[in-house]
Amino acid sequence: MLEEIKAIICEFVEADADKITESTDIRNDLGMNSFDVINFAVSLETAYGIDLSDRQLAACFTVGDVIKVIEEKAAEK
Amino acid sequence: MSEKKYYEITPAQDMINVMLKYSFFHKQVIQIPASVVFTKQVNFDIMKNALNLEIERNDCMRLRFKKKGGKYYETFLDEFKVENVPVMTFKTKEEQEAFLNADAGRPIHHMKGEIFRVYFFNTFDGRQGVYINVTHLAMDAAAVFIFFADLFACYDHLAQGKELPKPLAKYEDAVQKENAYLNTPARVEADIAFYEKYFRDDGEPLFNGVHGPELLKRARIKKKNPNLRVLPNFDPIHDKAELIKRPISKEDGEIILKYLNESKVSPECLVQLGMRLHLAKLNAEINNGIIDTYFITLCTRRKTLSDKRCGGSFTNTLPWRIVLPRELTFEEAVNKIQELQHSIFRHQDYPFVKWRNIENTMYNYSLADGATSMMFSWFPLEKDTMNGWEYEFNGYSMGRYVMPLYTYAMKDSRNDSLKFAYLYRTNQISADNINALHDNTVKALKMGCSDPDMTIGEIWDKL
Repeated sequence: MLEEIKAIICEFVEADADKITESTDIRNDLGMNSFDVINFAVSLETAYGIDLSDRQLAACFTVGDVIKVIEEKAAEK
Repeated sequence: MSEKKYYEITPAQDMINVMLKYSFFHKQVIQIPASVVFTKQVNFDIMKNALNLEIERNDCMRLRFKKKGGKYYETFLDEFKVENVPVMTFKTKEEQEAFLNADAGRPIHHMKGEIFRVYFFNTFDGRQGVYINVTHLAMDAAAVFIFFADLFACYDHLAQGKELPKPLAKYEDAVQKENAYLNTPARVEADIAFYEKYFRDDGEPLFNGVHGPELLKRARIKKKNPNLRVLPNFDPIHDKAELIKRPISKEDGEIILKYLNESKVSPECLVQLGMRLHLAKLNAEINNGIIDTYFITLCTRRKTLSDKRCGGSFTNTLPWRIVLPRELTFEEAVNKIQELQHSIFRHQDYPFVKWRNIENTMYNYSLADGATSMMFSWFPLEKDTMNGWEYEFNGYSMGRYVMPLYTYAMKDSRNDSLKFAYLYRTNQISADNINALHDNTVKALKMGCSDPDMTIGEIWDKL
């Protein structure tokens, strides 16, 4: 999943995919602003068939947090 | 139709078309006339070649439109070259403004193959500039910024051998993606559900006009309904409009920009708060002192990196209605507006004509009724937006406009401050109304940005 998430991230910000890890901070390291985060979230929702609430999004700081919440949402389905 | 590939216009373009349809007399209302003036001295022969290179790179400039069977279609020419670009030389500011405003008010005949007009000019004060007037069907404001930035990159490539930036993304690809949206039921249903809840949750909105409560009070008397909350807002005849530009001082801008940089809030949300406080205060007689304001904002919908390098017209209007308790601090109020931004931006693809229909059906509005007469846009221009060229960006008045008030704000690259512009219909709104809106917006922002713990009620009391 990390590779898939990296590919989606790189649609929204200029980033070296090889340098993105689970501990990469999506806002501070990748420079996503709030608009980017929303659009990134919508893209994840479409890709994985899930809904991400604003609260869940606000609690996602790192790529690892994003993966964790996607896995949790997918398991709920 | 010929073998050229034609596409239906997108939902975003359809919004423009609807506005054009109901502008019976003056079709120039949906055009974007803008200029960038720069201190760099250029050779306009090279700039003309740069323009033609730009047209090759930027496919929205090669659009052509057709109507068939009551529907509108578009296609992209493979090639188009501008043979001649007029070069003007202006001796005074008044002459420069008069000429460019005169062109701004001339319709672009987009159904007859005219998509844009360009002038190069030598300014009255020793600088040079490029002006474009383009149909909004081909470009939105973000596309205009992309056009200028890429044009200057083309110029640097031709004049100095600098490497061209990456190719622009193709609007033709975006058009297909945009048109596919309405065929994604899951997304469309989610958007419908959002807007139904959104319009229902706070009840019927209340018209808080920039001219104060008089229009609503008069409408209440005329309709014999003391509880009327919206009023007919459609007037295709009295569309004469003027533009007021109000830059703010470097000192005032510093206060606001300092807060923006430290808080990292969206400037669109911050500026809105100032405007909302003024509107609510002005209309306190109607709203019983409650800060409940509604106006439309424009969303550029440039989501991905590819979108951000794409010309074309993506803009959608979003209905921003928010109720702010007076006891909220300034910072809490900005954050509440930002929360709304986050939720409504998730549904930015849902077309204007469709969310408007949900609202109209829910509150039994006629086509002419409107809960707002105002639209706002934040232009995301930074110092380095124009390929590193030092620049001054300006918009112009078309002399007519499709709604009572359109206001936009941006960072002012020339003095590291902010500047605002207000395009308003003169039969309904006065220059005094605009200056009051501007002055109170800036006053509210200065107070709140200097002391974000101040409540919006305290700010309200000082306006």
